Amino acid sequence: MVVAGNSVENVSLLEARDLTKRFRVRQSWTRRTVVTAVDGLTFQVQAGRTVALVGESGCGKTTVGKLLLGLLKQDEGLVYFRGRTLLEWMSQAPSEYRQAVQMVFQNPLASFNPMMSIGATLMDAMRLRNDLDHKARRMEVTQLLHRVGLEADFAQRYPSEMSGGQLQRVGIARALAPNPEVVFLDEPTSALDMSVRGQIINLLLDLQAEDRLAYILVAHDLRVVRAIAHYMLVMYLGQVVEEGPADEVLTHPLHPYTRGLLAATLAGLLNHVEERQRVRVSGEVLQLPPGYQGCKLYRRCPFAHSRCQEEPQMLQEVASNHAVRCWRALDIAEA
Amino acid sequence: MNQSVLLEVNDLRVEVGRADNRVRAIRGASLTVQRGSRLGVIGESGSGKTMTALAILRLLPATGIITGGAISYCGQNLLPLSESEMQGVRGKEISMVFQNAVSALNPLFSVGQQIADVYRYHEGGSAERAWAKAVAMLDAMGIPDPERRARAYPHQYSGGMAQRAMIAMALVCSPKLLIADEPTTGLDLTIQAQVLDLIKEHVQRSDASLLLISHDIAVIAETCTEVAVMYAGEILEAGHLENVLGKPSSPYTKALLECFEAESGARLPYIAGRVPDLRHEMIGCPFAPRCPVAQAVCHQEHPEHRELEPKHWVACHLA
Repeated sequence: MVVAGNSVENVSLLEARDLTKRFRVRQSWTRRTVVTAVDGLTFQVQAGRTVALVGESGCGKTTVGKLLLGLLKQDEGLVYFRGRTLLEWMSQAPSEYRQAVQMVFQNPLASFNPMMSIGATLMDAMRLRNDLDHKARRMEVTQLLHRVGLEADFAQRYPSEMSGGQLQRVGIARALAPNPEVVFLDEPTSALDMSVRGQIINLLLDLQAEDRLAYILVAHDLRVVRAIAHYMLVMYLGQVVEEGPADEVLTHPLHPYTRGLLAATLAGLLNHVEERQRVRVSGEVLQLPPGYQGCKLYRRCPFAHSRCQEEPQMLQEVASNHAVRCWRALDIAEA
Repeated sequence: MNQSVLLEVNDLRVEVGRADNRVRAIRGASLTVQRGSRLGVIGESGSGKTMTALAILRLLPATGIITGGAISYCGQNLLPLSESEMQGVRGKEISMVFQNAVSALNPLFSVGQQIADVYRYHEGGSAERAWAKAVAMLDAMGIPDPERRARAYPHQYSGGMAQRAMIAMALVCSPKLLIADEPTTGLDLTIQAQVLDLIKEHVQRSDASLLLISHDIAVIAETCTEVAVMYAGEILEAGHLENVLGKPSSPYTKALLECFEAESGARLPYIAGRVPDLRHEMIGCPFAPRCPVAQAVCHQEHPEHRELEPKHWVACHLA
């Protein structure tokens, strides 16, 4: 296992160990098949740090979020929060866990009740806090709006009266309302224009610095990952294919899939066009036959070798803190 | 009339909405698409990119009207054409690929049928011939097992596949101009790259031109030869890709490029303020309220387009 980050305080706040989730999916009236949405995921996040999960649709990012928030139950593996398992939290102190682990949703417009004013939404999110009476909560609404850079009179507004960027600020305020320690950020900027994306990212960085929040970021925009993540895991069909410190993975990507993703995002601007041509992942995400053991990227990978299909690939540490699930990673990196 | 010009949009003005709430969505936008070129229109949401495309094909929403300007295609003004004459243009001369392909296709007909219908409407011939053409188009778009996939319905397609089918439908009558409105938004990154390659390849192969609309500079830099930067219903800067992105002159283009080229660890750049309310009349430069270098003149006078160098135009008092 690779340990996330190098903070002075290396105690993990939230940890997933060998997390696995399978879904039984109906293919037709009679045929059913099992899809492994998350396959042995292990990672941890410390206070004040950000771990990013990167991957395309179907890679299991959303399932991971649901598992960590206790909305789904894993088939294997454990989630630890402050040293106790999620199961213990849910049976002994579920509201305490829910207060401590919060979420910011992708689409701000779709994740608010259009009938509730912003103030009412934030008050509602503070129900988990027993330390505040009604009057104190009202004060707290003003405080929260201020923290996310909005005027106090936004409390009287309704979601339809606000821009996407403003609403995402409220989405962040709502996640902060119960005073959490871990915030799960599900594509927090993908619905926003490029010109305001930076504002939201800067806000998240400020809030993390103030409160030592731990972030788990799900994103496919590698520009966002580069800006805020300390550690990143690249997922493909439920498996981690590469992980390491974000700077390291983004500057020296080793897995063909990571290289393909990176080529498709950061390139395009004039000086990178050449580089992009090098790794091109072809085709679409494929459902693999049951019992298939080989590399899941096999049919799409430009470097595929018959051995890739035959042998299960293990996550192997190739540099300090940098692990890859590809036996050819090092020799194709030089090619 | 210059022979190399395929489409010319001149001082286009479009208003949308009911009388008490009219938005001036396009406020004097001019664009030129040369034969064989690929023009990318970049802008934030609400800048009027999609409205421009819809106005060209006269597919504006019910409350939208073209209040001024001209749209000429191969030297012919499209605005006076009747609806039935426009039907002959759409799909045959100019066709469009929409953003969300799965919802842009008709859920009640098989994908092959929808492509065949477009072909028969414009080219006539037997249903069998049209069907064979549809299958061949799906095949050309890299859809595996095209015979079977042609009989499938849109909900049975993945996002990337549906977008390929949509491109097949747009190209089935070999139009001279393809308009693609955010064709890859919502698709996965690796699929995005494939779809862009596909569009570029087929447009080049059939000697057509492309008008690509996107909010992502990377998408445009990858695909286009020319670029136009749109803001609040106006074109602030336009020209050859290398000129505009390599030597940006408008403060808006510069700011937008900075947002894309952020370094790690540092605070991310952004553009303060909001897109102006297009319900109100604007006197000066539309970007002036957010512009870091705006002067008094920017708020008072509307900047006209100037040619900075060959193939590079800008509308800015200070450039």
